[in-house]
Amino acid sequence: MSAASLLTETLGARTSLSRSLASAFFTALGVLAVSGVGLAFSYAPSTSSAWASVYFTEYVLAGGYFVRSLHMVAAEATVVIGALAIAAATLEGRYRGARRGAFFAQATALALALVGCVSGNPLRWDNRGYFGLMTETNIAGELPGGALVRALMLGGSTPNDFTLTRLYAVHALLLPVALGATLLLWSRASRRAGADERAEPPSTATPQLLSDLAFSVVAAGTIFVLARALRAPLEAPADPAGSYHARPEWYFQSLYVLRNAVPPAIQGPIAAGVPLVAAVLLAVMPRLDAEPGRPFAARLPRIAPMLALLLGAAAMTAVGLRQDARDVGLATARAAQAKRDKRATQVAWTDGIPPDGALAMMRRDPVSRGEDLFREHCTACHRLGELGPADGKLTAPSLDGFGTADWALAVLKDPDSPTLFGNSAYKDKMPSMVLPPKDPAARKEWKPVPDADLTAMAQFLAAEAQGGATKAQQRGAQLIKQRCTSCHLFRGETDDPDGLGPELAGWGSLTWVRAQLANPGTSATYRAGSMSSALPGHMPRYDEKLSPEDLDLLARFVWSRGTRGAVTK
Amino acid sequence: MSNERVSRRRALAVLGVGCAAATGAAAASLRVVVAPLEHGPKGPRWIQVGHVTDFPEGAPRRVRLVADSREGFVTRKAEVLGQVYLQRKGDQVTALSATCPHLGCTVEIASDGGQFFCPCHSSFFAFDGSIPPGKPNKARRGMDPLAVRVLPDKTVEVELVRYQLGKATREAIG
Repeated sequence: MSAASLLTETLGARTSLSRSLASAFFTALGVLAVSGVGLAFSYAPSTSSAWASVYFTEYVLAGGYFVRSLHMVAAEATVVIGALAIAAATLEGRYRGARRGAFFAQATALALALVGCVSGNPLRWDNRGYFGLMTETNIAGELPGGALVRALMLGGSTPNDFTLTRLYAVHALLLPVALGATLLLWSRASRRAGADERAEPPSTATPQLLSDLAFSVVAAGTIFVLARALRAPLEAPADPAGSYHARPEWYFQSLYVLRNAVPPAIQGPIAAGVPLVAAVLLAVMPRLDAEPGRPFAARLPRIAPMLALLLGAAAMTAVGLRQDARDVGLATARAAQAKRDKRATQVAWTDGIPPDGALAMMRRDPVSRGEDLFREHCTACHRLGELGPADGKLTAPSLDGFGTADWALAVLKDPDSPTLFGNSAYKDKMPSMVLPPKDPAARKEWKPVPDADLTAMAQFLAAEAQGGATKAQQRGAQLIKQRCTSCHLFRGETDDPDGLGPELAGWGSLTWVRAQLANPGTSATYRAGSMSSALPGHMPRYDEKLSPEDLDLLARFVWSRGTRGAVTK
Repeated sequence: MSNERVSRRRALAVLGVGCAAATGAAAASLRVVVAPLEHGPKGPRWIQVGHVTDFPEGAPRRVRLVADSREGFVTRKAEVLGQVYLQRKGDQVTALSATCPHLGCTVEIASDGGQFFCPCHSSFFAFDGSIPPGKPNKARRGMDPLAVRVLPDKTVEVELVRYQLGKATREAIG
């Protein structure tokens, strides 16, 4: 007898598919439990240490990433196999009589596996886990008495250290105990039911065992292969103040789709109702389909609700995943998030994680913090790269290319272009050097500045932005002294002490940008007049609002990113 | 026989004491499980967000509410406790919580720049926080307004209040 024919035989008419799936379920739970113990050895539940400890397990401890993958894949496998086992048990009617207890235990184990997913994901304390938990607890809060449930889950009205200690206690202590008890009841119920069945002629006893074994081996094999191929997620440290496009994990996609499809007022009832309907359905199945020996066609109407529930969930999961895959906004947000995630592991790797935690680490990182500060404080008016308003919505110059010769040249040619000062408080304050003035009298006298002079000035300014002009660029300095100081400051000198034109020496340098951000009215950059209330929407000072460290980070961000960007016309 | 009875009695006694001890420990533990709920912020918290002139008239500006946090084991200085959109008309400043009243994602300014948008469940809100008719929206109420006061020196303060999400009415939860 070949191995193939042995396998075909085991899948014969008397072999129970649901029992074999249950064996695979046990196997996955075994992997889950053992890998979970491994993970607990290097995990520390607090808002400042959780991300750091998981990062360490993933990237530093030898083989840690594999244990994490195993735990994740095994967890998701229990959900898949558990649902399939329920479906198979329904098809086989394997919940009648003495089997009922085993069936209920199986359903309870599946529910506990889902509790494990909900309590386990936030333990990483990354954005995905954090915002997932926020959504789940907020949904719980919608229900009657839900506010208390939510507070009990979070250990307060907002997520805090207690949230993690509680989740950890539930995930790593209560849940394994509950699952163990359920499995114990399950195996006792199965043994009792098995004793009844052994009274029947034991024609298929051996093949069933082979089938069980085959399913378990395939489950274990698949879990290990997938764990090699996949990595458990670890996104950037949870930032409650950040923007995050939250989406549910795949096993909650069906509920997400369903909730999204109904009017707001019944979203709460749906969230509570669907699991309740599922539980009631599971409870009544043994009664609904009680009589053994009926043909499948006669059973169909009785098992249809259960099958519809399972197929409906599968279909809605597919719909949800497809919708997300097609969502352009989500893709953009995820790309930005992925950048942040990568940056977090990079900083953790090179600088290490400080004792006050990974979020504090990110808040001290020039790249991430600079961008956050710019987004928060500057994008109402300015643009830089993908940050800030679109053309037509700018009320201050676009900073793309700020500090480059191109940017300076664009200001010299057309300062009131809509992407420069055209929609700002400083419109009409500086004349163009190539466009004729509007006033007819002035126009008669006016001559455009030659291109060569413009280029020389722009190149001098760009050199200043990079830390200082060379001798070769001194012609630009001469020209600026001749042409610009009737309004502008240059090396502290000007013909118009009450004017607005900013200091052009050192223009665009890191020091200049830092001074401009701190207070644009000190004559180090712009002058007191530029802060006048007669200029609504003028550049504000930030030294009263941002710490010196944040000012440094923001200045460095603007200075380094500006000169790298392209000039927008 | 008498030996057996003694040992059974002993076993029952030990079991009884064990159960009593376990019940006591469980009660004590439950007290600790519920205890963190009693901590955390109490009463109104006015948080300074800047000067009136920091907020140009017109489009709303997102501002973080920064204050000391005493949730959990440690006190954190200058922690972000929430985010609001501030809008100014003259000396009148209004604040809307940036927390989506649906499920708590952070509401953003829509790409057209003329309204709010929550990316998690695609909900639109008008700049006054109301739910615009004919637009997709999953929330059961508009964005939550927060109290604002402008001090004599034109400093703006916002009162931090969190409301239960997902409900049609506003119930403060701290």
